[in-house]
Amino acid sequence: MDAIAVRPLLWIKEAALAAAVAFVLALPLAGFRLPDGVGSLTFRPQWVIVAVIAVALGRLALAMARDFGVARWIAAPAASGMEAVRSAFSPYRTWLIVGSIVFMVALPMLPFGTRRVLDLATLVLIYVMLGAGLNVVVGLAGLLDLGYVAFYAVGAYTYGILATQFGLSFWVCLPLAGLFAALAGIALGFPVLRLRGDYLAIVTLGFGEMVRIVLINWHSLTNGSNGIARIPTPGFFGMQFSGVSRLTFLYFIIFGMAMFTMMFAARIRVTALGRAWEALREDEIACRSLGLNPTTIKLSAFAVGATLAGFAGAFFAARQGFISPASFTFMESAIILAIVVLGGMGSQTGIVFAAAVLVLLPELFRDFTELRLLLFGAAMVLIMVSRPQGLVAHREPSLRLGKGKP
Amino acid sequence: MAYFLQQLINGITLGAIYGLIAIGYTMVYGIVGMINFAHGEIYMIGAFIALIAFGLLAQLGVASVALSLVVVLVVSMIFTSAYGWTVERVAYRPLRRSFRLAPLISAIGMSIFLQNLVQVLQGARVKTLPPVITGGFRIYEENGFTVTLSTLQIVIVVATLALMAAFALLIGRTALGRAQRACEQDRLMAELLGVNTDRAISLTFVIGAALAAVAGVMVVLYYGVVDFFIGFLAGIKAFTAAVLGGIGSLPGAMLGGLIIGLTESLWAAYLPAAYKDVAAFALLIIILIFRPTGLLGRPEVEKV
Amino acid sequence: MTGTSLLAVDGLTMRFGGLQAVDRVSFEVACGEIAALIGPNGAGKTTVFNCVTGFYRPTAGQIELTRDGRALAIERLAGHLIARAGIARTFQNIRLFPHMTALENLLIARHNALTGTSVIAGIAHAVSGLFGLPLTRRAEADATEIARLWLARVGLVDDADRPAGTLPYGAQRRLEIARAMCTEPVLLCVDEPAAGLNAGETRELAQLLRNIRDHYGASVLLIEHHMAMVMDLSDHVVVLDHGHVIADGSAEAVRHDPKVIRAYLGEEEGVALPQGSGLHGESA
Repeated sequence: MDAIAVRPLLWIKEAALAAAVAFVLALPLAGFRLPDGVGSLTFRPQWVIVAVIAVALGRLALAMARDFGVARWIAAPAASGMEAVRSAFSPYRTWLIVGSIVFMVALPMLPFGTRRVLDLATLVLIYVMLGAGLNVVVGLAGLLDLGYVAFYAVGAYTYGILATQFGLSFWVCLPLAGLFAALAGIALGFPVLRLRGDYLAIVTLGFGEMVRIVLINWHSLTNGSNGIARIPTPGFFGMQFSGVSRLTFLYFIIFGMAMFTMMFAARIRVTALGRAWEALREDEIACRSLGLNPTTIKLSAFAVGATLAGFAGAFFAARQGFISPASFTFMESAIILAIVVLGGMGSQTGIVFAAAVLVLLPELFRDFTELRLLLFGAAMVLIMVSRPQGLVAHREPSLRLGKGKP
Repeated sequence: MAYFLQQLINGITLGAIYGLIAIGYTMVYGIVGMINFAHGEIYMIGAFIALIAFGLLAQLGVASVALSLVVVLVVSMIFTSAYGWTVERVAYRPLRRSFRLAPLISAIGMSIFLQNLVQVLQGARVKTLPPVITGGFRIYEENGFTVTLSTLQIVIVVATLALMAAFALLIGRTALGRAQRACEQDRLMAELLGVNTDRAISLTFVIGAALAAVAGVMVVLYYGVVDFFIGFLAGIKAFTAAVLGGIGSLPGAMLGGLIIGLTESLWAAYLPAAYKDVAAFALLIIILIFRPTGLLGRPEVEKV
Repeated sequence: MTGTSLLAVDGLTMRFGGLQAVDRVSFEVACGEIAALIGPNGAGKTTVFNCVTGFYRPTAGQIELTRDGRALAIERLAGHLIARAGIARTFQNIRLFPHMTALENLLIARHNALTGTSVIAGIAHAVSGLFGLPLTRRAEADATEIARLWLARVGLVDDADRPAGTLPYGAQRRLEIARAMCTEPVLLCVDEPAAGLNAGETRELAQLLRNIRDHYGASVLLIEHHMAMVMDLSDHVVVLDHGHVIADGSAEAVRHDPKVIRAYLGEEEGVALPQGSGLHGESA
């Protein structure tokens, strides 16, 4: 191990520099507050002081950590620790998964399975499903889709419109929602196929916004900003639920859907199509040289991802009973992207964790609701900066020659 | 005819503002090959800082319009540049050697962070500014409709042209500018030849942020109302302008801005205004499909 | 059918804006031969390659691939279609799928064989794969067997489950060739395969290319700077300089051609290019 370099002067210099920058940044925006109406500025020097001190201390800590080799102390054992944990758990992996499933199924019956808990669990599962769906597009195929919410909206509005205008049941609308979303995926995917990563992202973002604007303005179809209300709850062979049993029924539906999505995603990854998506992500030119048509492969990724979002959207509409364009903003797409990114693209368990954290943390720490998005933007940056080697940090091969298929 | 003329004037003014923001996008893309997704938020921050500066000056009793304008411009440019510099250092520089999507995801995170930072610090409500620069000229009259060219509009266009000329000189004639251009073309080689690429890149971000700050000041003066969300939409339109003009090209950014400004103005005047933003997105998609290098850009040959 | 024309390049021209990279280049590659494309740096060799393999669209000229007695004009075809027609390639800067294992890399080459080329077939295959139907499982097993076979031929069976990006350089080059061969091509285009290899590895590479010609059913078109290997290995050499063909014949003939010598060494006549001394071809 290298010698520890104790260089207090350097640390102080770095901390001072960081503090100076923090001062400049904080002074206008934190130091003064604009009045909401007419009035004068409020001077809040205390905010600036807090910011400067926090940054200085943080920078000092970072400098010290760096020089003490803390990163090394943490990183090396952390990496091998993760490996150790993974291998320690893997023989029990099946049991763990089965255990979690049993737990989730039993949740409504357990003493703490209250309305609140079921509600939260439902929300988490919706995001798990969306995360798994976007993971197909972003994690597997490497296509940064920032307009994913558009497909979610298509699914939701399909059920909303068909149910309220034509009285079709949820179970009939569900596959239709997926179908329309898939068509939307192909339609929106087609023009963007030749675009490189950055451009693809912006254009898909544009598409997402276009869909939202159309939803707001096409009154005859979507009822505009007022949204569609009184969307019926799914029934079970003619039975209608209400109250707690309705919640429980919905919970089981989304649980089933989320399970289906995750199993589907896991299965498709080991098929030729899943491999083709990953190969496309790695090197598109090499794919072309092997006879793969990047256009169809990208379209298939878009279509599959969109279908899953469509299913989730239909459920969302059913659960809420009311949908409006306000639920389908770019921020939703960003949240789903954050789940995929924070969870580690390509990792199913990671997505579950990330979805849980994202939904549950603000609930547990009520005060943080305002800061939620702030922290999560910061988290996105931090994760990217601290793991620059790529999000596919640990990739399970889809098959092995040595020991046969997993 | 008069109505059309007015829309033309408005469109050019709007276009100047978009052009200023677009320059930031195009310069950053030229030098580090990434879309600075947070650039729209930098513009928004510039607008807020301008608002704060105006407020402060008013409270201090400064009456001179010219002085206020100069002070606000300088203050906004300085502080916004600091933000631009910091964003690059914190969110992009560590990712220079990372995989392709990393800087973009980081930029998205940064954009969300900045938007919500301003929301938390300044509140979610809109902020207003009473008109500072008033007055104008009646140019043309027809059927009771008067075409006016306001002083503010003149100021905006003139300032934009002046800045563009100044920065073109900076890039074309000075050593710093040369270093920046070298990095644009071949960063590794420039580094090997002793060019301080980190500084050139930082400079690019700083210039982009400064110009976005000017755009922010102009928007505050022109519309009198801002909120923490203006960066998102303006950012996308300015990016569209940059792509339209040819990403990497400075005059292209201004040209693109002009076209987008005119399109938006004319669309809002003659077609359903609600869809004017859709027009901008649609334009972006069409350009990227049919002429991805833009109007003034250089065609890129894929190196196999 | 050794000896019949496999690939016929006729009047190939490529202009990039004002730059004329390739000017009316014509040559043929026959079935069952190893042909080399050599020339100083900037001569246009990789440009020709990229035109032949569909990564560039030539400004003018024809390229014809003859397969099973039928001739196919490929100059306007996209890269992936040319690959399906039977031309495989490797890249100067190795383009493996770094995070995927060696085995997976080869399986990608079997993608079209597994899924078919139409959309319907693709969907059918995907659905069948999802449910693990026996038809798909057998197809996957066959594909894996072909992959395993090629891994054995290049000596990488033990590394089958390692991410391709972690393999040593020489192994990566061999893997890339194995991957190209898994598409069962009739023509293999290799771009500077010996770059960065030591003497032993170069010998192995040359033997591999010979085996490909003799036993594995493909002709080879090769760009290479390693003169000794080229002269030793090739049945037929085409020399480019500044975008023109300046010589075209057997290795022996080309080695003594004064025009070729001048292009490479810029020196007086009487000097022959090396035979087996290990001298690497220098750029002009």
